[in-house]
Amino acid sequence: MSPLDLVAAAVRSLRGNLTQSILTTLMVLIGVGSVITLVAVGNGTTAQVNAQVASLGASAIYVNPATDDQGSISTPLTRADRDSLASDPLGTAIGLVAPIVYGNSTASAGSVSASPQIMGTTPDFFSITNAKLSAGRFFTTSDALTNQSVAVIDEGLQMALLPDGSSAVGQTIIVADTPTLVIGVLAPTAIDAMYGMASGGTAYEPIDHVEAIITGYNDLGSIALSATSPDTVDAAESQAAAILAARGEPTPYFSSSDELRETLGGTQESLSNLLSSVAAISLLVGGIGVTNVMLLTVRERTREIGIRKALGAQPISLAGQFVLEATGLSIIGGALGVAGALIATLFPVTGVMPIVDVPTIGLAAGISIAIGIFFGTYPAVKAARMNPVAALRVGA
Amino acid sequence: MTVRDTAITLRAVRREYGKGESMVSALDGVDLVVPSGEYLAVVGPSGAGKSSLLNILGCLDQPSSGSLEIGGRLVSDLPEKKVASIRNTEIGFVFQSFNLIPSLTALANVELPMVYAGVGRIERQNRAQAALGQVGLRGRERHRSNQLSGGQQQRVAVARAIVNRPTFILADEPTGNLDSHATEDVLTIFDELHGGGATVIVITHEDEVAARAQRVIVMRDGRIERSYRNEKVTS
Repeated sequence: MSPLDLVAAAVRSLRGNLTQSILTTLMVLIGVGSVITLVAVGNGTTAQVNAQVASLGASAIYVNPATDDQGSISTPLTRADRDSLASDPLGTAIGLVAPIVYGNSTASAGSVSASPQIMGTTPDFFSITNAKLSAGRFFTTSDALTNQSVAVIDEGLQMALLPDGSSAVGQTIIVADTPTLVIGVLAPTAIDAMYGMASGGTAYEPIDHVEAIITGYNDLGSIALSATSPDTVDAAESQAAAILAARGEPTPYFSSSDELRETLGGTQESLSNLLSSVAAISLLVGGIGVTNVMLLTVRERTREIGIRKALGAQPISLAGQFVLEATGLSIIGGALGVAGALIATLFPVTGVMPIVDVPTIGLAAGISIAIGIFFGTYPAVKAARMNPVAALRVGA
Repeated sequence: MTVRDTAITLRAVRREYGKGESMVSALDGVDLVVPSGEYLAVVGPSGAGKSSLLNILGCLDQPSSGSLEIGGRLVSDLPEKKVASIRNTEIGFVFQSFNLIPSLTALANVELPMVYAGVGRIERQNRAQAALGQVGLRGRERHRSNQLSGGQQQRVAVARAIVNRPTFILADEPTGNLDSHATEDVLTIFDELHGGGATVIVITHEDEVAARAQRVIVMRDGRIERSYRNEKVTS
């Protein structure tokens, strides 16, 4: 039997047993399609999380004061610490440094009031945290120097003070009994998107102003600093710790966007692994389905196998035909699965834009062909070894 | 009689099923020589061993002991690959239940033995069409089995049996599922094939079918009980 005749026989059989052929194709299609789609959703989620974390400032580090066993601040941070971090020649990996003080106060706009967190800092803070505005501008050094009561607020505070959704930029609000001009509104950050905004929102004001009207000229709440690049975050942390240690300070607590990325990345990886596992299981189920359908086909076509053997079919021809049929169905199912997945991944899934990667397509398509050959072989061998007398007796 | 003149030779063929006390002897030392060009009928009651004999003659089963020669070649103990080749080129089967492959057209069914023999597509189609014409089915090439009557299906099966020009045609109750008209059609085709020099072996329990053969062997309890010639039938 020539290879061409073998292919023709397989095609004819598949057409003659259309229902089984469609069912088998469908199983492989779903298996391959779900692998590509789920992995693409995982990729999309990863990319989205990475983009959100990057938006926080890839190299932002927060230096928080050391605490004792009870969690109380044991050694507060000071402006002198801030100056050392900014100027010490040891801090080669340290870029910008911004002191931060935290206060709480009421803020009101007309009859509406809120209880935001007040954060006093310098304009560098916005650069360090890679903050983005949804409206207006950041405050500048000149705003700080003129002691002008200005504030940049987040969207949480804007919503709290102006529930009608109007913009707060250009409006004067009262913060700690001081009329304060809102000059900018921050766009939500990845943390806001991930965990929701702090209730009551946050107002960012020049540090001197906040110290003058709310906190007093005391210790710093924390210090924000940037590494010179995302690759030097660890180096910048070590240098900051060394500089502070040289000043006799205990090791402070560092937090960085890297940690957030690692935490989110870990969660993301688990999610991706989960999706991949589900996808792999669906492919396996597809494979078992192919075997099942092929075994059923062999059983249903036992008489046909007997007839073919009586007419002189060689065992290898029969086996080849069944393997070809299974492989053909797997290739068709795999191709349709790839096509279906490529179409499905053009649309966002629960807000995530799936990202298809070529190796996954190759892997899924390769596995679908392998499934055809592997799971098609057993029924094929079974068919080829069948006793013609017994096979012809079936259904007689 | 030379080897070339002999289509089939069975020597002391036994076929047993099962072991020990449950062993059943289906063929109990059968000796049979079928000359080339003979029209032979095998008759006998149920359980006489007709089907077992057919399976051995058709190389669908192996004898427990004894030997089978087809066209002078010893078939017993050959590997399955060689036996499959003998089934393909030396034997043309006609079954009681036609045994056409329902998903294939009449033409494709007739082409099938040639596919396994490695005959090229064009030659296959020409020979298959000629065979279908020989059994009176010209114009039915594209019909599937469910679009044909029982008699027509059996004629397709006969066309399939003769298309590879086998050493002999082996028919198992070929008219068992046919009405009298279709029976006559099929038996006429066998007469014509025999008239053209073909060796035909028909297993039957119908006297009118056996009456068409040159020689009749009667089987009982796995043995050939007797053999006689139908004097009116000439080769």
